[in-house]
Parts: sequence; C-alpha cells; structure tokens
Amino acid sequence: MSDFVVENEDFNVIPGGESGIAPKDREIEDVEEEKPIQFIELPEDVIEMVMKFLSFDEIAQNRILCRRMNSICSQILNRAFTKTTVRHAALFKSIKSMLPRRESERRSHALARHADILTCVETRLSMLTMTYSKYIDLNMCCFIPGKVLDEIRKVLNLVSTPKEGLRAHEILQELRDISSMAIEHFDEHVVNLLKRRYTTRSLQCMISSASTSKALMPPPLCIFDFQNKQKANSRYVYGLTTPSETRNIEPHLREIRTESREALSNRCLDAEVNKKLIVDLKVKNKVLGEKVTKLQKIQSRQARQLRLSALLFSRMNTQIMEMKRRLNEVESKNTDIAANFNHITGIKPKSQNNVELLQQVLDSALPEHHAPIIQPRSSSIYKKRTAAEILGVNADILKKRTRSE
Amino acid sequence: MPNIKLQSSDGEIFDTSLDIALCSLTIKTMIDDCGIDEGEDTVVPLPNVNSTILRKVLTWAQYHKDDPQPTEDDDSKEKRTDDISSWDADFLKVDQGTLFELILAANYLDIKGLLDVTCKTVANMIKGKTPEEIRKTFNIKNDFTPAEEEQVRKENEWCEEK
Repeated sequence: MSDFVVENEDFNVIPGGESGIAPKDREIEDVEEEKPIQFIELPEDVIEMVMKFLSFDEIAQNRILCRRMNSICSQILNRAFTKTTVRHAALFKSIKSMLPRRESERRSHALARHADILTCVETRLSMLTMTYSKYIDLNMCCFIPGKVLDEIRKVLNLVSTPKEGLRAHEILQELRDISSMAIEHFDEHVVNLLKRRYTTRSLQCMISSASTSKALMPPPLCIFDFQNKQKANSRYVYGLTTPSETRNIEPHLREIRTESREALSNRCLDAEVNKKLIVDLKVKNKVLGEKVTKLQKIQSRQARQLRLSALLFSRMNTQIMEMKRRLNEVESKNTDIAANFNHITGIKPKSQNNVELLQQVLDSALPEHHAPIIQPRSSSIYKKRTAAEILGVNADILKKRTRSE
Repeated sequence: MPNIKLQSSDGEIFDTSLDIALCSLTIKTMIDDCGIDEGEDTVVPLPNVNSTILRKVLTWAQYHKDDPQPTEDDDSKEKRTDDISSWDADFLKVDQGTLFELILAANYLDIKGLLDVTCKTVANMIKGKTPEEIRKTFNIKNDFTPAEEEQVRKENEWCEEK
C-alpha cells in the first residue's frame, strides 16, 4: 500500500552521537519530549494560521483566553483593520475609475450604487479610525470590534461583484448599527479605563526609571573611541598577525586600554553624578509633594469656608425676605390704624403717606390729653405688638417735640 | 519516479518516492538548491520532524499526491472549515499533541494542503465554544490579572444585546 520504506538497518544513528548531546542529556530531553505540545505553546505564526479560519468576531472574543492569545488576536485585528482600509481604498478607486466623470451621467450608471455604498463605508472607516487609531498607535488597545470587520468584509465582497440593483440601505444597515454601537461603547466605557491605565503605567515607568539608578550606568564594554583608532582597528580587520605587526599594534593596544580605563572611570564618575542628581531630584520631589499636600489642605479648608459662607448668605437672604414681608404687613396695618384714627377722630387725611397721617392724628390728639394707645385689630398678636410699639415710639417722639416747643 | 531518502530527527530513514516528497516545498527547494541527482544515495535530513510525524506526513502526502496545487490565500473571504474530506477527518482523528506536531511539521515542510486541513481541524475545535470551554479543551491557563481580564471583558461588551 505505502510507497515509502523505512530503513533502520544500515544508517549509523547513534543516539545523541550526531547532535553531540551526551546520553544522559538525551534522556532528559526524551523525558521532556514525552510531554505533548499544547496549543498555546505553538509558534505565533502557526496560531495565526489557525485563527485565520475563524471570523474576526470569534478572534475578538478569544482575546480573553490568556495574555498570549490576547496579544496574537490583537495583532490580527489591527492588521485586518489596516488591510480592510487599504482594500476599500483600492476598490473605491477602481469603481471611481469606471464611473463617468459627469455627475449627471454618473447617477444613472450601473455602478452608481456601488460608489454610494463605498462612500458610506469610507465614512464608517474614518469614524472607526478616529476612534481607535490613536489608542492603537499608543499600544493601549487593539481594534476591538471584530464583528465590524466581518461586516465591512461582507459589504466589500458584495460591492466587488458586478451585481446590479444593490440596495444600499439594506446592505449598510447592519454596518451602520454595529459600528455606531462599537464607537459609542468605546467612547463611553473604554476610553476612561484606558486613560486611567495609561496614567498608572506611565507613573510606574517614571518611578521605576528613577529608582533604578543602575539603568543610567553606561555599559563598561567598548568604550574606546573607534573613530580615532580606526587605523589600529583596520589592522585587526585585515588580519595582520606577524610578530612585527603585533609589535606595531602593541602601543596602540596599550593606548586603547589606557583610554578605555580612563573612559570607564569617567563614566563611573558620570554615573555617580547621575545618582546624586537622582537623589536630589527625589528630595525635591518629596518637598514639592509635601507643598502640594499642604496647598490641597488649604484649598479644601477654604472651600469648606466658602460653602459655609454661602449657606450663611442664603439664610440671611431668607431672613431679609421674611423681614421685608413683615414690614409690608406692618405698613399695611399702619394704614388700617390710621384709617381707624381718622374714623374715630373725624380728621380727613391730607396726605396718603402713613407717617404723615399718623403725625397728623397724633398732633391733633396729644396737646390736650394723652391718647391711649389703641390696639389695632389684628389676627396676629405679634403684629399687634409691633404696630403698638411703632405707635408708641411715634407717640413718644411727638410728645418730646411738643414739650420742647 | 526515483526515490529519495528522508531522515527524521530521531535518525530513522524513510525511502520514499520523489513525487511524494515533492509535496513539501521545503524538500523541493533543498533538492533544487543542492542539485541532488537521480540515483544518488543522498539523505535529506529533516531535523524538525520526528519519525512518527514524518510517517504520518508521508501517508498524507501519498494520498494527496495527485491533488491540484493549492491556490493562494484570499484574505478577502472568510475561510470555510466545513470542507474537510472524510479521509482527512479520519486521518486527523489523533490526540492533540500529534495534531499540533503535524501542524508544525506541515509548516516546516511547507505542505500547504496538510497545513490547511490541520489548522481547519483545530479551528473547528475552537468554533462555537465559550472561552471557558476553549480553555478546557486546550488546557489554557488564564494568566490575566483580574483587572486585565475585566478590561478585555469590558472592551468586548459593546456587541452584547440589551
């Protein structure tokens, strides 16, 4: 049945012999080999090949499996979005090239609907680019809506066929819906998360870079100046190994060694300086941080005071309003009292002013005898008292005036 | 058709017909580049394929030796996974380890037909499953932190119907 024959007999295969692995090592390797390979251990390009047989929606949903899958699926989605944009542009260009240049003729052309659909897809693509590309470029997220990619692909496939009577509305309905949903969701729910994460990450980076002063230390290797020692180096390149050549090279080598040692010590000094600078910066940072905290406390205290003052103002305003209302009421009562006086004494008012009227009434009443304080008829005792007090005050003033006269 | 000898990673030699071996573009390139002539007793080493897998690959290649050359991939269309022939389906009824080894071998030997059918089989194992089911199927450990997982979940919430 099978055309191939397995030969085992005369090929000198010594276990581990050819590859130079010792038998013990080979045994260890065999034990390791016994463990079957897992899907997640496959190379990235192989996993990508498997994922090619899934829709973009499924790829997007599979991001949640693990970190590696997230990374691979994100790359696939980003690439697919770019490819879709490029494909759309190419298709639009080819359709446009087939359309007549005159607008009036273009409308009645068989490909007019195709162009309309592609214009709408272009708008959607632009919106998606505006929403996601910034964050994709910053490597903060990937092109999340795989389903949108599936739908665009479907639309582009439909448009790329020379089919007549395409119904733009029906074809684009789903794309419009889901792309809007994706954009809205991203703006409302994801952007804040990303921004928060980005801020935290950048802060962590700053802290870690500041704390690891070793990172500023230069690598101690290859410090000598290559440009100046080009001549010496070229000798190495051309393989000059005779004793005389070696003797010639020796001073250069010594020079290089001395220079490299000097350079190394210089770099060490630089590193020390850098370290000190970092310490200074940390101290300054701490002081500034304390200042900021103090200022924040003051600010919060002032804000509290401001709130209390505002509350006090509003209370006082209410009181003022209440007093104004009462004053109006008292004034109206005064008018009533004046009218009562007029009625009792039979004096016609000369003026409409309440105070004048009162004065007139009192003038007529006081010289002869002390008129009793007439209690106004009122429903409120308080009002009565207030009116009586006012009247009393007025009466006292008038009495004093008359006596002095 | 002349024969060719292929040596697996564990040292086994497979003497096979050249037209079967030429299913692999890697072997084809090696033969073309090294100028191996007919009748020569040259052995082509395949250090990335063990004998078990190489045997299976050659079985597959022998069955499909008369198949037309596979066409180039068209990214514009979603690829079907329901077009696996019954012979291939039976052939690939193996444990996951062997299946993945076959994918790796097909990738290394550049046998597009075998690579496609093995990848389709794995894709079918993923399709229609929830993430938790996929994790169970392939023994994938969820190594996200709760915050990271929540973020991915939140990002994917956009298409959930209310």
